[in-house]
Amino acid sequence: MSTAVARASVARRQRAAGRATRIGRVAMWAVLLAALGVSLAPGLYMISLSFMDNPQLFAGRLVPWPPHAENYPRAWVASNIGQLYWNSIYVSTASMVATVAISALAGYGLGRIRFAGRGLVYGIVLVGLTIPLQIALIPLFMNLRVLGLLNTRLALIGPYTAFGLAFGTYIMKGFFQGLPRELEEAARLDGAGELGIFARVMLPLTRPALATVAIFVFLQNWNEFLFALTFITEGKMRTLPTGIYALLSSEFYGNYPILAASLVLFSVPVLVLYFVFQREFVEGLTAGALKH
Amino acid sequence: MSPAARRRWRSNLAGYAFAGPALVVLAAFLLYPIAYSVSLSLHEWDGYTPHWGPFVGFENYRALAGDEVFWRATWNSILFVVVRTPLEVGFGFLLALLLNRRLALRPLLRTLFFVPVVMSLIVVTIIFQRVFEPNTGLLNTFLRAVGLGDWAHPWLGDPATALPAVIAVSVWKNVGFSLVILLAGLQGLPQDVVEAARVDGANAWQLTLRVITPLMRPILALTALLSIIGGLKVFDLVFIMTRGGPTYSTEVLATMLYREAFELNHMGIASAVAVILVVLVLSIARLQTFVLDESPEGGQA
Amino acid sequence: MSDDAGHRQTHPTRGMSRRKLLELGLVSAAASPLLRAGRARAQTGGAQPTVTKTPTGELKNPAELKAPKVKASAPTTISFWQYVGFHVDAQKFIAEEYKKRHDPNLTLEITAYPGLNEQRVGVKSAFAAQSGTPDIVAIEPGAYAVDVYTSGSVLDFTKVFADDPEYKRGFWPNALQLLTINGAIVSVPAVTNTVIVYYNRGMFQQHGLEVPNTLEELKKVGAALNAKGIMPIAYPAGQDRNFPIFPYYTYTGGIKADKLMREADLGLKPWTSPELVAGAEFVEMMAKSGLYAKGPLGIKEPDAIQIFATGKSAMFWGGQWMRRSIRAALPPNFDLAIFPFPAVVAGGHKPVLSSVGITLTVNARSKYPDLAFEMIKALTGPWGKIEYTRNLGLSPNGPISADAIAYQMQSLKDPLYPEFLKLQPTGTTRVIFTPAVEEAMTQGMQALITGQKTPKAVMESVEAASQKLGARKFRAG
Repeated sequence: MSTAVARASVARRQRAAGRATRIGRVAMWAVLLAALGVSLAPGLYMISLSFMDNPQLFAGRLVPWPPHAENYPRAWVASNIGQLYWNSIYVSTASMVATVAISALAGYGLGRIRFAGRGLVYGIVLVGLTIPLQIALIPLFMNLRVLGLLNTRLALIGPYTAFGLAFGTYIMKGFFQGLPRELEEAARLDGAGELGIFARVMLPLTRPALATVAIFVFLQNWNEFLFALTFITEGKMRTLPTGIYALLSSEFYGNYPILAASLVLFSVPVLVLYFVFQREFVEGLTAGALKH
Repeated sequence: MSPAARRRWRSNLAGYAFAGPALVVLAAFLLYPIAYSVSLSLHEWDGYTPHWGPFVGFENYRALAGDEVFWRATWNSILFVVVRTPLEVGFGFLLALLLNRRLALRPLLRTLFFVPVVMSLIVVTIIFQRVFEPNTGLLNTFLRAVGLGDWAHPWLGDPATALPAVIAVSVWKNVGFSLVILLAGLQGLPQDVVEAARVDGANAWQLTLRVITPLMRPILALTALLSIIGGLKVFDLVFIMTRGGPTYSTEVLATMLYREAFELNHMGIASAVAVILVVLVLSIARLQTFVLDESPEGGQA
Repeated sequence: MSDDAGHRQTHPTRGMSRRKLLELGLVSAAASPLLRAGRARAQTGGAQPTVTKTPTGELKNPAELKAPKVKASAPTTISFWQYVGFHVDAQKFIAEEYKKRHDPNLTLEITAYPGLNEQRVGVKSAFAAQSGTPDIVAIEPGAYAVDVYTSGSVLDFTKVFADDPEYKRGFWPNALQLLTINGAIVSVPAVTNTVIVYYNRGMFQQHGLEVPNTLEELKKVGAALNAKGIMPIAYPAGQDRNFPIFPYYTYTGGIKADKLMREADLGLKPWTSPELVAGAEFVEMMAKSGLYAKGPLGIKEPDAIQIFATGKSAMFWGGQWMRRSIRAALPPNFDLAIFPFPAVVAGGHKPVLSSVGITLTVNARSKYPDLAFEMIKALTGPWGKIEYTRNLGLSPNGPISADAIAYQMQSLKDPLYPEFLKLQPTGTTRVIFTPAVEEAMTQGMQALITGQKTPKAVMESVEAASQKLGARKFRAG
């Protein structure tokens, strides 16, 4: 084939590819934007709803006018959100810290130490990942009652930690497993014991995974509803989900904009947390999951 | 003791020292309830009297085997998973492929797609109730506005469409999760293989089908597994939206468990359902890892 | 007992002799002033009522908050678990007045669960763990009451009523009958709830429609509305388990078969009896009649309220307890009125679905049962019931005087309130005692609405569920 013809055919193919690329790009953006719209529309509607009042909502409006920003302070006061926030933060954070710590330890042990029965222990962790939580409701309630722990924050911290442990251990194990042997051997040559290796060498390398577990578990705890409902009945000790849900049957029964405002207040911290830490979150999530 | 034995002893000790706290917590809060449930599933109890009722052996399981609601719930649970997982993973994969370019906006887009995952279920169900309402809901209003009024339908009120509607909401909520994992997986692919194929003249289609997808198999499998497990356990979403109705068309195993325990006072039967659910989830998880030749301990990083 | 002032609504007990009414316990001597009070507020539009009696100074609660027989000897807190958040303020107010006036040592701590199911889970767990908390429990009539009483988890009011017969007389007798399990009255109602048809009177007038008195008239009104592109009735059948059964209860009430229904509920008569099958046929007929807003099973209360408030439907079939949400949703010039469901058979009476709202009982393992009973008496006794229902606009659990109504209307200012009170005494039940039967009925009614099953098949499956349980281990009513 002569070079001229060859060059021409390459050029033709490139032009065709160029056109295809442009059409492809437009199509790609169309799909992305459509998907984005579908993903975000409900959340945006909720925000919009929180600024309306009932007549506007029932007239079928999509956008509030005039906006009622006072729904927010009203919602804040109505549900005693300050107290709810404090309880939720306390419980979610405490169990998150416990989960991260315990699953880091367990992940290291399962991922890097050969010990008898390791498979069985890991199997138990996997079971934790798969069981439906309602199974634990009544037995735990009765136990907590015997221990006098009902209506305390500890009543939630314990189960939440357990629920997060399975996921946390799964991720941490994968991550630890993927760390290079050389590091460990070098540290051992330096005379470090197991704990030293763990604390000083390996753990710092797992920051993304720790962040992932922390955020994921925090999220799960923040939103948890069934156990919070059953174990905590004193108003003062309530966490956000039950407190918000209680609005549904309170004097704001039927006042959907205020409900929406309280739902936004409820969701905002989590979203903020996610936006701030999303890089670590994604890194850790995928790294921990992919290392398996 | 020989040095080897001593090392093994030290390893075991170390292993259990590290895994110990987790074991204790899991035993107290997970294993104990499972044992409790297995035991309770062999008895009758109404949940009100202080002590369990009589031991009935496998009677509860036999009753379930003859209960059409149970088979309906099982069928719905499986259907839920079989429909939702491909959609969720499929859409997630598609979006991941689209986002897998040198896009400046990629981190932002990825974050935005994840928002539904982060939203609380109470919020989601309230909103979608407003979306699906037959007369003034957003979906039907939209359909009528664009001239597709014939497609307007009582989505949650019709047994034929209730389950698909609930599945749709679940897909909507979870696509972001799959997207994030798959996107990271795509970016972790060995670029040289992909480049080589591209240089060989493969177009986008062939590239995707023949090169990328096979490379992504383990990650796709993992994403699918997480989706399947979540799908079998689903409760909150279904319960709040439809309570398992109408006429059991959206009843899944978890909602049946709740109904039997807290509305019909059949604690024994509810525990049996719980046990069956656990066994089902474990088997499917095991089956999938077996089929895809991935052991939980090894790994193909 | 006829009412001689012109009312659009037919009084449900017209034609019955007063003695007969008293016999049936439907009307007590105090009820006639009640009717007269209702007549005084003849105007039931959206504007403020004109009170014919000009009050001299502010009216006070005419009843007396009686001193208790038992007081707390040391500072004591008793707990109360309920499931209707918007009652909390009323309950708190009464508890605080009680504390101020009679027992400074006694504090009531109220926990409002978001909903009945959630509360029941908590209560079940507490009882199974033999907890002394909560001291006071709110329960629903029917299966819930049966469960807690037959398991020995709650006390009954036998002794309380023996010690204070006047307290017992303050309740509607048919309400107490509903709460009688194995011969003992297990709990007392805090409020009465009625299910009726709200309607858009302005729209009716605009289209020249009259309030229907019979089923045939209702269908004609429905047809006229449909012709104009307006949906007749917004019906939130998707709201909870009980709502799909409302049409059924309405029918059995309308043909006076509610006693038969109760017997079938208790396994004493078959659900396949002709009258009970006819109830199912009625449900199917209504679903097919074009009277409902489309897709009722997919419509929950807020959706139905929206449909009604925006004028897309002319009527709304719902409970009295929804009045607040409905009012909150209405535009200012909306003329809201009510009527009881029309007579379902020619010449029959109009069935009013009524039931007790939340009912209060005492945990058998409570450490302070006497104090708990005293608190319940404060909440539901002659003084308490007036305060309780005053700002909530719900109906009291028994008859109250005209002065009491005037006092309530001072702060309530809702012209519909006296209309509801008039309907209260005649209500028929909307409660099923046996959980498995209720479940079968819910599913069955849903199947009738979706057209999946025939009425006969539905009643056969309900009967099958009933028979599966065998003889009930409790007596009710």
